[in-house]
Amino acid sequence: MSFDDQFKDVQRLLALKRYECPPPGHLARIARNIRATLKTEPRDRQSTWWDALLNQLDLGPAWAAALALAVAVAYFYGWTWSHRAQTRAEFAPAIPTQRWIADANPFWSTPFSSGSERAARVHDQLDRPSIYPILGMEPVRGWRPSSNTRGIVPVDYTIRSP
Amino acid sequence: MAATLNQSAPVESEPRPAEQDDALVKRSQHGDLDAYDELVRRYRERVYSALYHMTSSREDASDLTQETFVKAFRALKSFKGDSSFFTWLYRIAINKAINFLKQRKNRHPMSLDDLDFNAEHDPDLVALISEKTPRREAALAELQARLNEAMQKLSEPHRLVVTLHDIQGLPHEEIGRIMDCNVGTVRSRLFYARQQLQAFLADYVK
Repeated sequence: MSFDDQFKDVQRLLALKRYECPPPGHLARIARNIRATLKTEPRDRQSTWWDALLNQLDLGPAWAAALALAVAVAYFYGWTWSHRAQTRAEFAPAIPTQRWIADANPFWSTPFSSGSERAARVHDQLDRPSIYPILGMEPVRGWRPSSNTRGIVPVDYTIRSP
Repeated sequence: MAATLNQSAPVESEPRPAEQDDALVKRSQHGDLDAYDELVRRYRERVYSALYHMTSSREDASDLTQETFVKAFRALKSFKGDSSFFTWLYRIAINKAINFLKQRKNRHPMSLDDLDFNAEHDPDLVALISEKTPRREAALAELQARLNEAMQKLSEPHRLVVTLHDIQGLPHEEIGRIMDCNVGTVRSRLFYARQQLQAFLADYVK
């Protein structure tokens, strides 16, 4: 039994659909509408790059897939790049300020009576980066507290005499 | 007109000499609307028929036919002649139909074309329905509705191969070119689609 013979009855039934016809004049009306549509639209319309792109997309699924892939790659690259930049910013070392050091230990807090002119001047300087020596001393990392020094100087900082 | 239109199946894949189509296409590419009118006149019946069998709706098929020809005219500049104009045009029509059917997924309003009176005299159809009812006309209308319902139950690719092969009579190779797949795929889809139709129309099939 051949490929077509297996379904002879189905094919006979389907033959009925060949007898389905549009009303008389229907196809001619469609042709007139097509002509009218093409006449009204400017010929240049299709020469825009956007129309050309859409036409290409509709006619070539491979091109559409390639474009989608390119967009996905660009998106992924952008996401990775922004995430990396954000991570760097998060782990960037914060510059210690005098206020930060003063908050860490009361010893460095403003030793002047509040409200005085000098206290106000020192207060204004608290947010400056403390990369320079403070009162001739600079904080040095690597200090380990001992039983004698615990509670006297800030943890992780030691005072190096000038 | 209708009778001659539909009784001409199976449809030849290259119905006109290729050079004639090529000449019309070239003129159309230069904006000659008269040349394009001739192309529309040649292929409107087949394009409408394919879209009608895909949608089972006269209105939808009419709209899609118009859109197909308008889109084809806009895209004519990109037509390089790698395939015949007929194949290229069918591809546009089929893409339109499939996109449209995806959008209207949940509604199936059937508005069927009338049957040509010659259907009552088709010996194959007469043999199939004579046992069902003495009123042949009513039986044909019922069969038409059942057929269209069964077609709408098929997936779009399966409905498409049945439309192009069993209704429009295109060869497997031409269908493969239109659907951009190989002949084996066309055959397997056709086999599965017919199996499905046989099950849906079990009342009419021995």
